[in-house]
Amino acid sequence: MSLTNRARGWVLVMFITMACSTVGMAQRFIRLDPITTGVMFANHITESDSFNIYNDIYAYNGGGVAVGDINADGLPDLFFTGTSVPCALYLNRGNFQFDDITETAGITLKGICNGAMMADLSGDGLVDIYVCRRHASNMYYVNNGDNTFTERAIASGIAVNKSSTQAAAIDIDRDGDLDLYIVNNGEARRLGFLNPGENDQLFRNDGDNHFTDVTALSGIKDKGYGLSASVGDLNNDGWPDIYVANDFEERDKLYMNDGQGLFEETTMKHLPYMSQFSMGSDIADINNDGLLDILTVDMLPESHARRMTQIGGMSKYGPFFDSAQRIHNTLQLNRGNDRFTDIAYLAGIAATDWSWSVLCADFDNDGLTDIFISNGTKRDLGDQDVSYHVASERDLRNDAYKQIPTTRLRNYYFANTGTLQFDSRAGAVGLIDSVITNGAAYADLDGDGDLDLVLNNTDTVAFIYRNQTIEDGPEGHAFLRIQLQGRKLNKAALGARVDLYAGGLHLVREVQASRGYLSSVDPTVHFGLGATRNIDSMVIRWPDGFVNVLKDLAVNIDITVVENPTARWIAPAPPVTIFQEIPKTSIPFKHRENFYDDFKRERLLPSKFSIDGPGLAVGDVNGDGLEDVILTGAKYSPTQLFLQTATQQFVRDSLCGLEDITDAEDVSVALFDIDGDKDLDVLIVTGGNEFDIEDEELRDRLYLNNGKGVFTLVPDGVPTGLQSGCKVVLGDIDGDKDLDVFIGGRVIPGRFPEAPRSYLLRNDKGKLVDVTQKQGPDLSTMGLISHASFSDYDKDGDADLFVVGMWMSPKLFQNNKGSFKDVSKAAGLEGHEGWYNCVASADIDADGDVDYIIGNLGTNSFYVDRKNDPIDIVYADFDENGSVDPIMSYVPERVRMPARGKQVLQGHMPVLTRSYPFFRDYAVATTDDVLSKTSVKPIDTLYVRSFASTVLRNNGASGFSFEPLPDMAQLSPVMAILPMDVNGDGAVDLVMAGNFTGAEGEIIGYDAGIGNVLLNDGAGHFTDVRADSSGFVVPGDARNIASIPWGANKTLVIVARNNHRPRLFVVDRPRPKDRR
Amino acid sequence: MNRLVGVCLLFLLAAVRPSFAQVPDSAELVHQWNRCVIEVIMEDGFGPPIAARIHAYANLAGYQAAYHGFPGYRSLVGTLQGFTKCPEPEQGKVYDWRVSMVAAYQIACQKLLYRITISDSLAKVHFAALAAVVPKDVFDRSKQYGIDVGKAIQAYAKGDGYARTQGMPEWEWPKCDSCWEPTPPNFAKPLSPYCGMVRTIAIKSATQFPVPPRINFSKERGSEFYKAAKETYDVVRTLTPEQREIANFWNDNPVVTSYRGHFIYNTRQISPGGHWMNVAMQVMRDKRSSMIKALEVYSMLGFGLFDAFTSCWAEKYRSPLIRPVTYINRYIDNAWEPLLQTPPFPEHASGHSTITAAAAEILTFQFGDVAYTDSTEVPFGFTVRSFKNFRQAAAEASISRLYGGIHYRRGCEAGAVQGAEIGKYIVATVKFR
Repeated sequence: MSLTNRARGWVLVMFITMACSTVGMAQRFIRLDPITTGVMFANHITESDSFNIYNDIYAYNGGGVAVGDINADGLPDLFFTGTSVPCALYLNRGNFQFDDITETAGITLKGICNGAMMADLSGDGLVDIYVCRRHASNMYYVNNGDNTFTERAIASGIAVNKSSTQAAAIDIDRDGDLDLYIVNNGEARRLGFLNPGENDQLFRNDGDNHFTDVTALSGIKDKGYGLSASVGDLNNDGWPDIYVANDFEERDKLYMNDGQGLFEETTMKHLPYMSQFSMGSDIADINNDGLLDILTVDMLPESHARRMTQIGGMSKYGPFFDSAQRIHNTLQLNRGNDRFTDIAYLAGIAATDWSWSVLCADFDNDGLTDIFISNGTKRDLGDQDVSYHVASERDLRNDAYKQIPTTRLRNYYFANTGTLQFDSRAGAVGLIDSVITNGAAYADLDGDGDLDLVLNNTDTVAFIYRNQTIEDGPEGHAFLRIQLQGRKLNKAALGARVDLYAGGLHLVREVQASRGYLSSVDPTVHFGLGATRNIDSMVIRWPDGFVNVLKDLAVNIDITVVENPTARWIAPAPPVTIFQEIPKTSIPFKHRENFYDDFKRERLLPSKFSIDGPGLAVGDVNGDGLEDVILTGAKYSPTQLFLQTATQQFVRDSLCGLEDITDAEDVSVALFDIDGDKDLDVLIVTGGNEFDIEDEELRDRLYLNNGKGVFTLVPDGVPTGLQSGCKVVLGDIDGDKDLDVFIGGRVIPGRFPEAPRSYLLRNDKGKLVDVTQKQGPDLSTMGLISHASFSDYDKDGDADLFVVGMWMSPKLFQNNKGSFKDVSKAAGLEGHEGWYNCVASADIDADGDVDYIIGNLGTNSFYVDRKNDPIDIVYADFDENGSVDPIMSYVPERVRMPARGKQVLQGHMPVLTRSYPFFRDYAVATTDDVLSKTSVKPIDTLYVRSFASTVLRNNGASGFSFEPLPDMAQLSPVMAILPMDVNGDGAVDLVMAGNFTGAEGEIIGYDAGIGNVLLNDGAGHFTDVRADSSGFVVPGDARNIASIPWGANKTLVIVARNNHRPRLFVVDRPRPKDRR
Repeated sequence: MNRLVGVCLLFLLAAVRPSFAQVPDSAELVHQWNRCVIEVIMEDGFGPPIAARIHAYANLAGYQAAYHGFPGYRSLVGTLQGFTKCPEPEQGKVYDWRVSMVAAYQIACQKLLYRITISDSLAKVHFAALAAVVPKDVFDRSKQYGIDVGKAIQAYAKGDGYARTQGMPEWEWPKCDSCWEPTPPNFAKPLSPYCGMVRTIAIKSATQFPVPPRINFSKERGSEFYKAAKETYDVVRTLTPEQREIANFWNDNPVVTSYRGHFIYNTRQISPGGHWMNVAMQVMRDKRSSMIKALEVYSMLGFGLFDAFTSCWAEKYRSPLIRPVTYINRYIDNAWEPLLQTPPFPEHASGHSTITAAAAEILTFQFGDVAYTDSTEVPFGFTVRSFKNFRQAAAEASISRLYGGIHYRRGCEAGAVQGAEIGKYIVATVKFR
């Protein structure tokens, strides 16, 4: 007995010691005891049989925090809103001591209060408080200057009663006073019937503490269930823009200010997609490129078990499925050309569970913007087991809400690492409490130079986390604090922008009150400056459009800058771009993809195979010396030829003979002289997933050119049988000076992931002969092929074959007198299974041999994790009902788990319902557990271990080394690569485009990208050119890229896009030789 | 193990416990198995056609394992479609047919239901009680025989093509003016679109008894079809309290999904087939029917429900007709909502009308014209309703779909015609004695 006790004592001591040392090393936040701070506010949400989640859909949305200096003593004061408790106002007495002055201040508020904002709306230099309320009129407390307030919402014309969530103070017309944007919400919501929320409202400040509703004129049309609005000059034109985050099916709205105080809703021109259940939001520059980025938070859980129990019911077949809305956080990176790219997965911030607030600030004063995200709901409203079993609305017992479980998780803190990848460090920085936090705000409460955090918690006392950065030693954590003083009514200069330059550092701040969720922050400008000792200059752009410049400032100081208008701010001229886009209609072609839902037949398919086109080929078909263009048509559309005219126009030649067959899905086309008659003939590969394996539409087609660009179909000209094919490639395999053909098998329609057949076709004087079994038996069934390249990797003078595909490693086949031998292993290609879409060859390091660039899925997606764990698919007809059952797995937490949700898996394999009737059981089932429920043995397992698009550097005899392209090239799948020197330095640069919108229902799309131009330093190292400088912008599903000479010294680059028009760019460089 | 099984077992055990040491009344064993199947079907969320299939095969297993103990009763091998073999007991050996029956129910249910921990638990309770009164050798032999019969029924069920219908692509509904399309508020995918392809059990094929045709579609105001939709519209707008009660009483929609903000929840209700199985149970408990009578009635009723659903589904997806809510929202009143949530499959003909008519024929054959009181819906918050006889109840169930706003009158009448034909045929051809 005594021995056991002693042993236990030792363990305890050791544990404490270790815990202390860990804390001492890394902690930056310390939670202060409410007894010592005096902040005892706790947002208890008191449920009753008449107030709970069944009666009010927003019963658990919690409260916010407003921060502002109400008595102008330099110390930020705090205001908390409550759901079932009264709001509270705390005066900051310094040294983290607060006095509750709610009563004496005259603020008595009951009922559900949502957002609060502290801002000087009245323009008298004193901070006022505006409180949004649910089911009640908003309140406007005007500061009397003696720590008391007078409520005058009605008198000021802003007594809005539309269940508002938050207000934002914003000088929309730059007239020097603060106008008011109010985010409104709605009442009960029923799916399936017209059911809008309340329209948001915009009030113009009349200048005499009265506001006029100008919503109708302003262009604000938001009928959504708005939960937050963030303000910032997103397009850097000097005028404030607004981002509204909407819950449910109403899209988020991005309102661009037209420069006259009116707004235009142009969201989808700027964003690829957005969060679906958007809650909090913030606008800040997260990568120090001088451009403001947008963050929104949603409800995707990080842990596998919670994803399976909380999100298990979401489906793309819901009544209001919208492919533009995704259930995860977004970090919309500003590309500088009015376009944003969501990089949330690459950044590692996409999944933070049921999230409310997101705040971007430099919490560790290292010059990089960090991210805080709060989360939690009083009850797990997404719990699928509860949803499944709760009785009907009619039968709901009044206390049924009590059955919904409660989970408390940590909040999230992401440290900016200086790359685009953030480090999740809540525990390490001391945010170790598991708590339900709704609104939050930051402020330097003790004025020491670092930002403290204030959290409004559900059912728990509010937290104040003291930031220890300065206390730990300011060395390397320099700061600058700036109080701005406007000259007009907007004395706090809300909306002002500060650009700070120090050495190579360029930091941007915009002064905004409302940020995150239901909350407003202190308007003091705070810069973390890391090791910086001197600030070169600071440009202050005042909200009324004037500018002041300060030079040579010290660090670690507080300064006050008073507006002293000398010059008007003028927007910088846009950079000169490498590429100039010419009108899409220059080639009068629009690819029309037929709608086919692959997932109806193959519910467990990870991505569609029916949206591969259009194929693209260029060449002079009519012998006039000008290169013409062929673009292939999807099912129901013809493949079309566009002849280039002498005036650089393209004219469709509908009589060319290629347009007769429209039932097939033409995915690839090649132009080459097959029969040696000195004209270009046409080979078309058909593909798609909408056919059955023996359908005639899958027959590939060969057309002969009569020399004038008129084509005749050669019956059975391509001996590839009835197969769904991928991109065709050409090479001279037998040294007879004519081009031979490789056509990879893309997929067996309806039978993913069984390997289809690929074909090597020898050109025997114009006749294509299948020589796969004879000359390349290893090529026959390699896997799901996407693309290939004939190129001489070993410099022995013949064409070798490099092949890429999905769920397989790249493969290299050495040409030996026309026969192909698999040398993948010796080349070092094994174990690099990827989701490869394309390959290009070029000598990137000018060492005389061929290197490869392979386009992959990219690293900005759900399944990519930092630990490089693979995903895999194991398949067989496990339930013996005739269909292939591909079970996809990933490794969320060390163990291989089924990637797809219970409903999808059981929708395809209903018998598994017997094994996993409950979501909570399925949530902990490993893939091996699931497989053990069937007696059928798996046929095979396929992997993806590499997600990055990569350079394969040819090291000669020692094989290839994989060198991933930079993060900015990993934002979405790369589908097409054009190697060409775009800046005339002699090194081969890369022009790339991609995106893929055909992902399964939970992912929806891998489509954040807008294309890239990567410059080569000469040694094969690439850097991304910012989109506003490259001029190369390709949103949508790019599939193929080609270039043709454009006049004497220019090149036209054509990017073919699925279901869109091609995009066309001219670059002031000659077209590289042998590059189509 | 989990809350659900706990609750369910509690319910079952409550029925068993008073006589736990003794064997429950033999007929009561059959009733408890059917109650169990009804409950698990609700929990599993099977659609009505699949639920009917479960009722049919489960009770066939029970009957086949027990009929030897009752002189005059005969095997259904050769009577049912494709039912060619079923194990026979050993001659001259003693069996306890209750034990065999329980084992057969349990084994059959293992391939029919999902939440089989519940049915396995019931078997355990029954076996424990029976083991106390049956000699061990007899018990073991009887149990083994029941298992063999259960497996034979598993094999027989597997051959009906149901599994294959579950592996088929999702049904693409045609697009046209008269065509069914997903309905508000859930716009759910069409339910069990291939169930009409499953082999029938007692009738020769799903098309043996044709459904009277639907009214010719027209969107023109004043057309016959418009008038039919208008009738549904008007009836729902002017429902009497009793009509409202009737509609709700016969709603029997197994899963109704509702939304509250982020919170989505499903209402569970007895299925139409389960409703009639329960009516049979009430009548037999009242009449204190014997075990073999119960097996016969449940089996025949199960066959009727299964074949009626299969026939009805074959027609629904052959001629996918637009639901009243879609037609009315489009051509009459875009804000109209039916009283009941429209179930996710085409309109013609009414499934409830079809299976109800078949059930009424079978129960009338079994019990004659008896008055009874139906308390099936009490657990779901509705009152009891009394009926003069089964056919009157069937007529009420049929018209309830018009009151609910989910069918046209023609759909109700057509279903009733086909269902009655199916019921009469089964009564005439499926001989248990």
